[in-house]
Amino acid sequence: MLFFAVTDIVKQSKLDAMYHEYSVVMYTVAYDVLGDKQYAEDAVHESFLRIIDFLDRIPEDRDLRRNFFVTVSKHTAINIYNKRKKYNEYKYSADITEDDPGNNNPADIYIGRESVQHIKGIIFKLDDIYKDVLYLNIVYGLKYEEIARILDIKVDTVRKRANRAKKMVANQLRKEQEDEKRK
Amino acid sequence: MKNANNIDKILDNAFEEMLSAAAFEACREEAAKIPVPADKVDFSPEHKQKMSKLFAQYKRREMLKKLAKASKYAACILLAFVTVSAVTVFSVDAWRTRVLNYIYDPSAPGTEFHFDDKGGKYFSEDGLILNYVPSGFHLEKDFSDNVNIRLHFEDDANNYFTIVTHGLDSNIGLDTEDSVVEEIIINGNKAIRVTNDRDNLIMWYDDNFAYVTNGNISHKELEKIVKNVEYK
Repeated sequence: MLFFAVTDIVKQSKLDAMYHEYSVVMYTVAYDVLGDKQYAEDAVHESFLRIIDFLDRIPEDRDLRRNFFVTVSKHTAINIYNKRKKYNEYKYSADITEDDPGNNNPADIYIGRESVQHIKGIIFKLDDIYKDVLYLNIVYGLKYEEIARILDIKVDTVRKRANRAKKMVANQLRKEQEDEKRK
Repeated sequence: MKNANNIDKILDNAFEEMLSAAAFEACREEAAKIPVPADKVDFSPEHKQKMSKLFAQYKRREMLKKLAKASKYAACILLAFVTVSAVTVFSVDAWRTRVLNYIYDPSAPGTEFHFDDKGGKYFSEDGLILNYVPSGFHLEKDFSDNVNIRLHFEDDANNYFTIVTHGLDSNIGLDTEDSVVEEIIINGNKAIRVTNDRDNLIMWYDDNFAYVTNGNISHKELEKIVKNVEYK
């Protein structure tokens, strides 16, 4: 039993398998951000260092899994880019401003079957920094602390981005519904 | 007011549910749009080396995790085996050891005999069957209570013998002053024979009780009685 448990690992680790499947797409995404082969390779390596503790949490669904690796690689590349340039070219203005209270009270939002499609359209339009936190939290089931570790940002930043993403979706949904009413 | 709060909560939950459903769909759709890289990437030897190191670290960590898990599993199996063995072993009468301790001092008025055992029985509605009773003897009195069985037999010539049961965790005090105390074997178990001018006594035990039988009859008869006692 013990022998089989050990030989099973020696054959090929999960990490090994995932690297072989996703390293190229991760590298491509990182290269798009960094424009440098060596830094892109570093981004891939660093991404795996961050993902290593969460391998068992990544969904089996191939599309979702692929998106996860791409998301982590993209953010790692952005972090490397920002450190290199010493200024935040990838930081969105919304991320610098204080967390405005906004209004995500759904009381005045019409909730119906078509709302999901509306919300999906709004999510597509969100900036990546919000969208990715939303995906990591909702789709991949990661806690804010875990997202902070993976994206190498503060937990507070993750919390703010997640809250802001939800407010943005609610506000936009309300706005679209009001526009439709006017028509 | 409370009702309004509840409605807000319901709408809030409904919104969260819709957001979740929409996020799943959006994420899946976006993932499908990620272009498959056309070129094969030739990673540098430095990168390959770094990754190999990471794989090795991960393998070691996983191996330790699995070993720990397998060890726990093995420990559970071992524990189960030991438990089953112990139950089997201790259910065999031959392995059940009754310890009968005493220090006999001929000059002392009495000797305390200790049975060190948590098993055995106390008196129940079942009873003792004496498969041998010397001729002429009959049960004169039954003093049994809910702790001990006490049977007193007599014959017409004022000869008597009594048999009393005790729990196997008992301390039994006997009058051994000016007596001869000997160890004998009754039905394979250690027993004590006490002889003096007053009467003869045998103390012995089996899986159910410790017994004391005494009377003004011969040891030969007493031994025959005690060897044929049955508890049912």
